[in-house]
Amino acid sequence: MFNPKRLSLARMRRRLTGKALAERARLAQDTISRLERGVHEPEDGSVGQLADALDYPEGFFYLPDPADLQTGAVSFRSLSKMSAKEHDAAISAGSLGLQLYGWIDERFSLPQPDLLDLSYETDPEMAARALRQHWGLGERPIGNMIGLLETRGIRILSLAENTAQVNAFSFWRDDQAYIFLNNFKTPESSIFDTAHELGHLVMHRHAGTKGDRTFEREADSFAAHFLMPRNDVLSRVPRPTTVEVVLQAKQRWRVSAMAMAYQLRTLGRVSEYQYKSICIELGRRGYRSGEPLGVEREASLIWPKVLKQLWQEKVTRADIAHDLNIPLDELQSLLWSLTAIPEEQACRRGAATLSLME
Amino acid sequence: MGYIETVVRRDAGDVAARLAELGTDLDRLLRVRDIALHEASNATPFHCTNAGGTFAYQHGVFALRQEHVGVDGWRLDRSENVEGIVNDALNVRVLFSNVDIACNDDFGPKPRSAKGSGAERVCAGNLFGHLPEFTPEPRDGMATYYLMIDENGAAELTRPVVADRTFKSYIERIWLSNGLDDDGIGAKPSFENDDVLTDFDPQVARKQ
Repeated sequence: MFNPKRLSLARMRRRLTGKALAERARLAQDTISRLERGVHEPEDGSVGQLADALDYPEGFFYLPDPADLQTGAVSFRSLSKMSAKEHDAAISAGSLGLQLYGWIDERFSLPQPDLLDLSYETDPEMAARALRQHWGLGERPIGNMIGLLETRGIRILSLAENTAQVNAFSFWRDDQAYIFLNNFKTPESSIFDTAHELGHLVMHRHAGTKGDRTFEREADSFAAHFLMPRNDVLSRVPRPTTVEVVLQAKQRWRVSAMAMAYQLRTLGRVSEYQYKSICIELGRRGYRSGEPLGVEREASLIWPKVLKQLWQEKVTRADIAHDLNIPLDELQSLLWSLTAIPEEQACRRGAATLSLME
Repeated sequence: MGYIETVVRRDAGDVAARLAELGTDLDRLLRVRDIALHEASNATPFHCTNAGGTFAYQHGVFALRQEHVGVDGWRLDRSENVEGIVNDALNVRVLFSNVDIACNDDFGPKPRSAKGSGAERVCAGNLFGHLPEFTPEPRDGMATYYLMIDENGAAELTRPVVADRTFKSYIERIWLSNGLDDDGIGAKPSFENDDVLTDFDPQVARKQ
């Protein structure tokens, strides 16, 4: 049976208005509207026209309801810069991501979430410290945030180019934690975004309305303290804290130069005045718009393992997409920046520690 | 007029007490030092040769005022075209100076640029000769101190006698820091990466 919600999802993923879709599919705008509202069944051939126009498999429109992500329960980074279209596209990507993880869950056993519920904690620095303690990280810098989070049971997917204005978002669903990352930004920004979303997952799990500025500030502060713990920073960063020092320090904690300088101000290692001066100099050197001499981009540790195993079973990404009734490009979008290498290569690189469940 | 022995305060407790009498404290003065040194380090080979000293002086004066003006009776002062701060209630003036070496028993700090006649006038008397250990008793009036900072971060708050465009002798020297190395914050960064956590291995198992 035709599923109107699937039509809405595919249209939002393609960032089309009802009118634009109608034109592409050579259908009346009113028809699209009625189909999406479920007030009438599609006529013969029109599902094929819609599938062609959206470049989605016809079977997609006959799947059960997609996971309904309550938008209030989703924490978006850069919400203010996002258009409604981008917001809807991102939420729709979340639904597809849940569908993909559902498929994986049937075939693989993945790490279960090992997070603290720190929603009672009002101080982000204390929350960051508590989680570090819980995970036994001490004050040491984290060399792979995605790897750490995956090991602790957080499910990570990437965001496609058609949601480039969305930095990242996260949500809880059926006691599983999900983060979607946009890796178009610098690796340092993505690392910070990952820590920011981690902050939302542990501090704002039960918060009603996400996107609140206070929550965003708390998540930023959590990220800064999680990535750059106070004692480690203060014991290592010398005085005078010059731009050169900031540029060396950022390599250790794998953050942007601006984030490093901001944390040094937060920790009182540089004064407001010095911070301003450092920012001006960093801007001159191109660190406001990019990250010269940056760190390497992080990649998933889980997906190469999964894909390698499937590859050995002669299951390709195209097969997965076919099974899910989603276009291959949507599957690639969910995985591409986390694997960021061609399928065969990714499979060869997949770690050999995957085991069979009894 | 008689001569007095230069008072040198090195002991932390003595220093803190004296700074409190003078209406300031160690933290504030070291923040001024940090800013001055920070700005000096922005000089590159493309800048003028004296850029480091100029940056340190300009921003040192700025920071001195930023830390004090409007607090505990301090106000901005530029008497005799000498830029600094004054506390009228305490009758104290503080100026900023880059020096060749600070907090050293063997050498008195000398300014890295010549002091003008204005500096001579705002400092205690200039009628006496070179006296490294004894210095003329100051005239009544405002006591002028310099926050003296060398390139290694050593700093002292010192009341000098200015003559012949330099610091000729010292009425009082208050040692603030022997340099960045002695502040418990090594001058060299410590950013080794041998303790970075990278060994993550999420367990994935194929279901039968």
